[in-house]
Amino acid sequence: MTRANFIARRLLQTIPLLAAIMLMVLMLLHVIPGDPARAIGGIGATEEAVEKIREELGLNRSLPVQYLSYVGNALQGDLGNSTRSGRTVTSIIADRLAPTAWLLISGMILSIIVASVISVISARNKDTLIDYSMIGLTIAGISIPTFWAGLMLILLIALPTGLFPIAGFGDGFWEHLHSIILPATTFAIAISPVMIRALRTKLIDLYRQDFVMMSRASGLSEGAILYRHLSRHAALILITMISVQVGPMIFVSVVIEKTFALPGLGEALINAVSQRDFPVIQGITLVTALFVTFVHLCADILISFLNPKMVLE
Amino acid sequence: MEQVQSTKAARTPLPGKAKVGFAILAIYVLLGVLGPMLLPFDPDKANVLQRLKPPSSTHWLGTDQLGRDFLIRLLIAIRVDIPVALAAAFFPMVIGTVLGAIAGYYGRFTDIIVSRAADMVQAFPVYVFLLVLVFALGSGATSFIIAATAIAWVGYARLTRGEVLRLKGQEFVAAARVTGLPEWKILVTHVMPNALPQTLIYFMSDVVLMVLVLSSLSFLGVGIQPPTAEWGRMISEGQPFLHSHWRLAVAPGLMLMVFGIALSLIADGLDEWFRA
Repeated sequence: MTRANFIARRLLQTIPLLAAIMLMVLMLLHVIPGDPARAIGGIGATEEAVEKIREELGLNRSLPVQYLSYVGNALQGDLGNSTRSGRTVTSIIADRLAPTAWLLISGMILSIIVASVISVISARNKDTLIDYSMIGLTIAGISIPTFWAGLMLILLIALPTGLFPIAGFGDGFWEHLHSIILPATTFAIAISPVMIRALRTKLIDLYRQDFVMMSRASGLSEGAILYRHLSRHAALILITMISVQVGPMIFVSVVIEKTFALPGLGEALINAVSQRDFPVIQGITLVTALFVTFVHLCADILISFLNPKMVLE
Repeated sequence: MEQVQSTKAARTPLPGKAKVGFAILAIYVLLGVLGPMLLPFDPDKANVLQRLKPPSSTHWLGTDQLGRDFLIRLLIAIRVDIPVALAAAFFPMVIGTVLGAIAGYYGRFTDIIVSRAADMVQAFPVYVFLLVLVFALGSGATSFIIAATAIAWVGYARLTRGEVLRLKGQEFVAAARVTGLPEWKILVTHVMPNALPQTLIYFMSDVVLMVLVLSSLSFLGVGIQPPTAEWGRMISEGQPFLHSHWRLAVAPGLMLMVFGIALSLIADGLDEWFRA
């Protein structure tokens, strides 16, 4: 199979996937036990109010009709209106996108840096005290809840030094950057341990290979070996890990936004949940699912360039 | 082959880290069962006059923002967090392992159905979906276990399918087939015993994940509902008092962390033990 074929096939595969994603998002309304409209309206809702919610959400129509109209509207960028504020879901999402994008991008960059540095140190010093302490840190990192890590950063760094804001997102580029440092660090504490596990194993394996020994014998410096021979393999592992971890990353960012009161999509989702605002919940779930699908697609395409053998056969 | 493996395992002692892990786990179980019985407090009843008291001879770890004894809440939460996380990993393990075994062993349409369903779940931001699903079903332990099962079976199914595919081609399976055993019996008595160790190790790390997800959901307000003591919820309730009463947010996090480390140690130890 050629690369163009692979990419075309991979693109085609996303179409049924997107259809299924929208179906699952729609079904969220229908797993509510009992009458969804009544549940959304709350205990004190009048009969008319419940009927209005039913009307707005299209619950009085048959399921296939609901599905087709949801898909049709979504394709035109219409995800419905908030049942609380009446605003369009699309505009709510647009407003909330920036902090989440900041958190995801800065968190991911930091995670990759931390994971790469620790993995290289650990693999180069395999089975020494340094390696063991890195492994210990990794296990601790996997075992703590993300929001707790964030609170500990606030308690141990932000409160005593007063150097970092503990809530909010500020105004303008520099304030954004300043407010994102602790959240991004929390993100890296949550995400890099899993990357380290995979990367360390791969690097230990690579350092044992003949071509590394040969390069070393021929006088190539360790840095040059890392750059010339190992970086491509490391990049492959990292891309794969990002692809596998993108779901957890989104969850982690929801939790972090709540911890640091960042006004992003995750915080909007939690607010919508507490207000039983279903169109907003569905809209944000859909957007995150689209993002996951997009990242999976990009990762597969990148991998097909970095390691053609892995996917094209 | 499985005979060879089991005698080997019987000879090798359990690695130290697994023993440490099991010891910590035993302490948690003891504390969770006995601790609340020995402390003369009501873990859920608010007593505003006693709120935010520092540690004393009556309240060893002080009281929380509603005047409840903090220690008893910390310990009684063991009865919530651990069983719920175990259940949320156990049901997907059973379902995922059965589906993965069938898909891997019988192949064809069973494999297509299971693999496609797994792809579908994995295309989702699964924990966000879990959050929304728990909310839609109504917050609480049962909803959490149902939603976790709907999502986490995929990991077990993939793992088991891979193991079964690998084992299916091995000689001892061909040998069993020659003896005329029915296929399902070969799968159950010859293939699965060799696939299960990996499942068990995965289960351990899944329990850690589930206890963290559960506490995160409670932190976000959709998990275990108040007044029931649950570590994530307790951390969230302690957040406003971070600068004045840090113990309220720190202690439940430590309980979660030590539990997670114990299970990670068990998982790593068992992995070495099964490989030995």
